[in-house]
Amino acid sequence: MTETAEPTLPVAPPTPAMAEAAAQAEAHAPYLKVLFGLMVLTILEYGYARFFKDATGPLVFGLVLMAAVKASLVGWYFMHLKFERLWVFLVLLPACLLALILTALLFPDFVMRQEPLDEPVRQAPRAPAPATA
Amino acid sequence: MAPADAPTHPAAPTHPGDRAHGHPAADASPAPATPGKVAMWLFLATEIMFFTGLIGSYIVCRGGSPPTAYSNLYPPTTPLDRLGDSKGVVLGAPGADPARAAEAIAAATGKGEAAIARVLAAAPHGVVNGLTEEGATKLAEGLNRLGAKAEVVSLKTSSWPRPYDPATNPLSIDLTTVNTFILICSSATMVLAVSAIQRGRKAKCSLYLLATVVLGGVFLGVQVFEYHELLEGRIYPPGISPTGHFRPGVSLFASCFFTVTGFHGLHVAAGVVTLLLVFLASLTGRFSSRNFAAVEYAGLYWHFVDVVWILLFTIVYLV
Amino acid sequence: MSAGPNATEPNPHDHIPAAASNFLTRYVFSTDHKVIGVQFLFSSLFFFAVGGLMAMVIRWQLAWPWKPVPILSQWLWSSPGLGGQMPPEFYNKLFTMHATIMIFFVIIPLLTGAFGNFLIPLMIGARDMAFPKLNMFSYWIMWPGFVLITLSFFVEGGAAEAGWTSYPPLATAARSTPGSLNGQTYWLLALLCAGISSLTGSINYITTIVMLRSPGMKMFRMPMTVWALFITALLQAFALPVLTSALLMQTLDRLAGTNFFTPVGGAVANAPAAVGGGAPLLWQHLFWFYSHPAVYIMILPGMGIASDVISTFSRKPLFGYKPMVIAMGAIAGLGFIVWGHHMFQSGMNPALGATFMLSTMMIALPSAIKVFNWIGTMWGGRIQYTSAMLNAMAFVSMFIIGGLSGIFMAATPVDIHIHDTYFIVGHIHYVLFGGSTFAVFAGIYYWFPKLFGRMMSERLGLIHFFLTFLFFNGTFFFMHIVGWHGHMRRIADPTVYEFLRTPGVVGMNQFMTICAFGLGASQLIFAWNFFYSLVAGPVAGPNPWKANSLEWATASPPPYYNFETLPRVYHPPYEFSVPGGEDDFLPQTTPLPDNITLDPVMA
Repeated sequence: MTETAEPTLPVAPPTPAMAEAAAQAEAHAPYLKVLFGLMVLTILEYGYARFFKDATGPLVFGLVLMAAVKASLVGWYFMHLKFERLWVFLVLLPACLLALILTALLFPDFVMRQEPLDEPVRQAPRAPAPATA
Repeated sequence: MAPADAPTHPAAPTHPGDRAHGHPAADASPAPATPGKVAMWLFLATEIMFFTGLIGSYIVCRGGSPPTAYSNLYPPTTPLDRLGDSKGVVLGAPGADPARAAEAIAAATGKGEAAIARVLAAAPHGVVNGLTEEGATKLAEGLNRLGAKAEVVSLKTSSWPRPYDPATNPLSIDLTTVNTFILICSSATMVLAVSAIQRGRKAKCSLYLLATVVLGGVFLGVQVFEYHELLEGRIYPPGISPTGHFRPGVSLFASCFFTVTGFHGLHVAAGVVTLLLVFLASLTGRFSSRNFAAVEYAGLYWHFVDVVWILLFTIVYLV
Repeated sequence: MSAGPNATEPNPHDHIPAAASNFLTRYVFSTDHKVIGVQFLFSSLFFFAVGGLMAMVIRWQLAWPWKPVPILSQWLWSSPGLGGQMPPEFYNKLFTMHATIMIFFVIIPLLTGAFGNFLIPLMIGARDMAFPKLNMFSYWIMWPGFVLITLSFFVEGGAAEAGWTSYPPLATAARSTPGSLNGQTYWLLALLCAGISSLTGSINYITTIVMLRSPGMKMFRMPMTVWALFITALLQAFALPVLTSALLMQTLDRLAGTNFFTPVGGAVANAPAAVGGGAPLLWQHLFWFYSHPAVYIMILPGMGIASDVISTFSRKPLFGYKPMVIAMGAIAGLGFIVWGHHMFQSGMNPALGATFMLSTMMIALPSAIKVFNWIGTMWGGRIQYTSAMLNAMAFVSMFIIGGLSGIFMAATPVDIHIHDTYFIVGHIHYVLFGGSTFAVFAGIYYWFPKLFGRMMSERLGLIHFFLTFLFFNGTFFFMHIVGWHGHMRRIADPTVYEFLRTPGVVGMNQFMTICAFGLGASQLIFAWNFFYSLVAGPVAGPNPWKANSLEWATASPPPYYNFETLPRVYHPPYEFSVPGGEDDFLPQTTPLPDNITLDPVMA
């Protein structure tokens, strides 16, 4: 297996998406549109939280969904994930996956606790004053 | 190693004129991955894991909190099994003569001076707790006769402080919504700064950078104000804190709140300092359409801090 | 490689920086990865001696409880009231700090800091790390850690004594132990510093390996050591931040009164009750989410080193290079989802116990692949029994024992019996001493000529190896037996229990202690060999072992710019005894002969 090809430099030609980005860079429109979307979503969240403040299920579901959309908008457009290559996702996805695994595996011990929680809490007897040795 | 002033972003193919530098073509195409960018994304991945430790703990602390951990009348984690029937009086306003209101409360409950002062200071959400139904009715009537605004409430428990519930939750969602706006705007000015320098508009880039620094500073200022109100500035009812002040030790919610938002705040502060340095560097004109790595990396970090805040705003304040 | 500066056309983008001009920037605040590696090596070896001495005192107390330790008792804890006896809380400090120092200030900095720094750029054919200044920072941020961990012995209450795992409430409640008064805070801050060092280091390593490989150095042409350090760096980058957040939470629990790890109304030793609401178990989860991957951080580089050493001295290609890499990746990936096997006895949800047991058992598979591949590499080779090779072989065999004893702990029913006994102490030492430390010795014997340009004495090396191997097994093997018998760990005086007062257990404890002293004394030979060879060893050529990888293609010690021109790489570094060749090795910079094709799967 003799090596004749050019060395694999860490430099690659631009993807079509990057060329498109360069063309788009002239216009601010996408960024301002995204900003507008983020603002609208924030107001939506505010109103939604107010409206559903007593219904935990829909509250959590709706708000987390909106937050996820906002976070993805910032990531996709502002952090230019839209134009990035695979390697960025190879860095990000394991981190996100591990974040999910860690949080999910914490649930059985803290959220789905086994001991009956409505058991009356017994007052601990007051410990005697320390004996003077 | 490349010399420090080497272009970090060789000319994009849309600028054919820049090709005349004698570089081999393979090296002149934009480098999608520079060492700095790889390191920046790796750093952000470690930051994701760091905030996972904090936010993941917050989520399971909240989810696992027993249903009687917080109540509108008693401090967090008070054992409530023998207090289920007890009533409280919410003091909406102490009336024209607070001293007489204080006397009335003292007569009805036998509480100490400091405790009663906290009740008065916490109005319109002051809470007198530990009353029987009869005692509560009497106290409320007495207070209303004195011109104060008071009403009887019964014990309501929850597993976590509920948003918009002044008896258990001291956080101001209105203020923080505005603050969220500010941070999102700063993210937008940041991306505009990057976009400006990509097109070689140095002055515009500096201007947007300055705007980002200012907006970030305002966000931090609002957060410092919020912290001051919570820690010192206001007196809160017992459902929030036994001492009247909302401090890290008063409840698990307070611990989580201060830790999560505090470390986010530290990240914002670090970002503001970084961006300030980048802004000052931009004034010297050292960034150009082919050399803007510092702006880009600072921007990535800043957007990440924004993303974390978007999640925190939802999880800590709204849910 | 003795080519003059103009012998080959230099790459216009390849630029040799100016040499550091003064002593301070050349040897102290150096940005040269080789100097930083040597700095890591020396400071870690110093703490290795400190941690080792602590182990000697621990063993003394276990063999002859409460007998005054000669010399030490007089100036460490001598108190007329105690008659020179070691105070039990001092014993707690010793085992806590022994483990902390050995893990966070010896093994991890040695493997990733010393070997990682020195070897990565040399082995991939780079001039330096991607971020030399960050690299310097990653060494000097260790120093606040060194200072804090040493200082903690001298604050009120003394050093931390909640075990290296620092479980709350022992670690968080200030009155639970003397060491929790102040020492624990120092411990936390020292670990934060070590963590920042590892984190910046790992980002640097990953970036360097991904971006700065020399022409032709494809990923699957990198030596196993680089692969191992790459995967280790990934583990650190993704696991360590979680420990950082947990350390910060525990620091806040101690200093700011937060309630993360304190149960409702939690109070220790008549202290005022805390508000609480958190859970001690949360710390354990977050801690082990890092610290289980950390055990792979401590063994994977050893695996890489052993692979390179074994292949070189068997004069045979590494058996199954690509499967080895994939197995290593599998170990690392699985390593993230097995942390709960440290917590079977903690009151963790039993449903999780079964999950973690299963995932832990799965790690045996890639581990076995690696062991078989090492044996396959040695099989039929012309083995040269150098000190490095013997240490690498000891690594493989001790890792087998350590790995097999690990399976006992992984099975929940068995773990009920042996949890927190000397069985686990034996297991961890078979992996960490028998595994990592033998690999470190192998690495030092192997790369010493490259590090310092001189050879170490082989005769002393062999004596050191055989004594270490003998005393190592004498010290740690019997721990399995007394542990199975119920000898608990972290106990200052086992003889308070009837069943641990029997002559068998006492005799084994004394035998282990004598062997431990022998083990400690054997390291004096190593120290003498190391320092004597440093100044008076025979001068080593560029390639004394006739090895293939790139670090042997430059002078020993390498110049600050590593390579005159960046070398071009043609094949993986394991082409030994190529048929038809004149030499029995084929450096990576030499093209393969035309009649040779590498197996696409195995090589």
